[in-house]
Amino acid sequence: MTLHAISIKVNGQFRAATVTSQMTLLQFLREILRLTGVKDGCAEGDCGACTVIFNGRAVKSCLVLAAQADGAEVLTIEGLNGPDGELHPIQKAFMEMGAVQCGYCTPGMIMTAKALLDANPRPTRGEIRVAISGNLCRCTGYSKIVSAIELAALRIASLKAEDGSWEILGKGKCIHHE
Amino acid sequence: MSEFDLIIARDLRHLLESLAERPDSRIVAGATDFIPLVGAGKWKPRRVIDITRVQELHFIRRMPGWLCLGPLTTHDEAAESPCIKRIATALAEACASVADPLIRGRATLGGNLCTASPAADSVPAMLALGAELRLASLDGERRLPLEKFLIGPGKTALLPGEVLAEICLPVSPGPVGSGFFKLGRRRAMAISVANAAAWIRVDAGTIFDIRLALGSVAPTVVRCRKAEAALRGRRVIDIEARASEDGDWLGVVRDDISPIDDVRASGAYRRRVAAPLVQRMVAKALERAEIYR
Repeated sequence: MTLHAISIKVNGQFRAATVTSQMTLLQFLREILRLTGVKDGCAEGDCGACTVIFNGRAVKSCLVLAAQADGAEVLTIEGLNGPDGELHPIQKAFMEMGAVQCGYCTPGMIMTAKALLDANPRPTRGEIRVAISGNLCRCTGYSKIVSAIELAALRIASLKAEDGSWEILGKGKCIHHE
Repeated sequence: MSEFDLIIARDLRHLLESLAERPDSRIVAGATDFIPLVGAGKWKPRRVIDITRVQELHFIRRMPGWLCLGPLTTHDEAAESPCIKRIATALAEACASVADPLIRGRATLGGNLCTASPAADSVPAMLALGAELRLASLDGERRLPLEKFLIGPGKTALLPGEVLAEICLPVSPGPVGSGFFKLGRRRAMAISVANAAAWIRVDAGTIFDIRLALGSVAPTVVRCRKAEAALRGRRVIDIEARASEDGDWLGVVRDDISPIDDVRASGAYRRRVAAPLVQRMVAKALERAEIYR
């Protein structure tokens, strides 16, 4: 076993720690940073509950070694709301559409949705289904989740058209600490 | 997860030196197979070298006569690259069929090759496209056709101290087409029950050259040499006219495969689907070759 000094920018803040060679990014986020919104599901890359945004892309944090993530920028569900604590439009849409049942898959679903909407602000239902194909929900099925992501896309588009506030808020925490 | 020493390679030199020091080291990049297998105790590496920071291994380059890919090319990069889509369509299709979008952003082509799973998706595509591999060690370099690289399930021709440095796909002049199809239990997160890739070069209405590959039907991904030989020199119009019936060349597809029963399908089922998969991909490759004629 070897020890590795790493520094990762998590939700806009640099977090330094010494990790073991076999620690995953998921374990680092949950057990060292106590960001337990990142869910530990299967821990082998099947379920997507541990999805975070890693250097701008949705990844399963259980499939990244913490030492590999040195220098990376990570966004978790905890970093998604605005500076005043207001929920992100994707989070609001999930609540409104009833896209949450037990809630275990929700943080991962939302992070995957965020990465999708950042890259493709107006996805079709088909594109949404492909995007979340690595995130499993065992409660309620997927139609409400797909509808919530559609609704969030519309809301973000209209907020951007108004004053661009969510464009800033979506990345708000990062900007504050830079 | 069992304990291991981890070296973070800074560049190719550092990687080769670290590997020469301890040739039993396992290399990790996307880690999408590594972490589940080590977690389950199936792999027990003592020493691991991470290569994700080795920039010399991360590129897509169009050279005269070749399309060259670094082993750190991710499945997403390969699926989305306009150059790969146009020149190596089968590879772009294969990469788009792997796992899910989240894993495709991490998993690398080099990892898929070196893991040497008989059910790999990108490998039949690369085999049909005629890939050659450049292998590097402190002693120098050598080139090897992909077919010679695949030795058995999980086994490659890499020598101790050697790494995969480049994947070279030949670019043929004239009308060529390729295609890949995966038969899985569902569209995402499925390991292939069987998969097939075809590459065809058409000249003056006949099949001038052809390479067919099947995955998940033998201990390694395999070429269907008998079917290739049966099709080489045939007129495209004859194959298309007889597409609805079982072409006489299809029977020989079974000669090149030795499928087994496993959790995903029976050997008998795989034997049954192999020829139709090849037939579909031949039709797809021909159709695409026509477009570029």
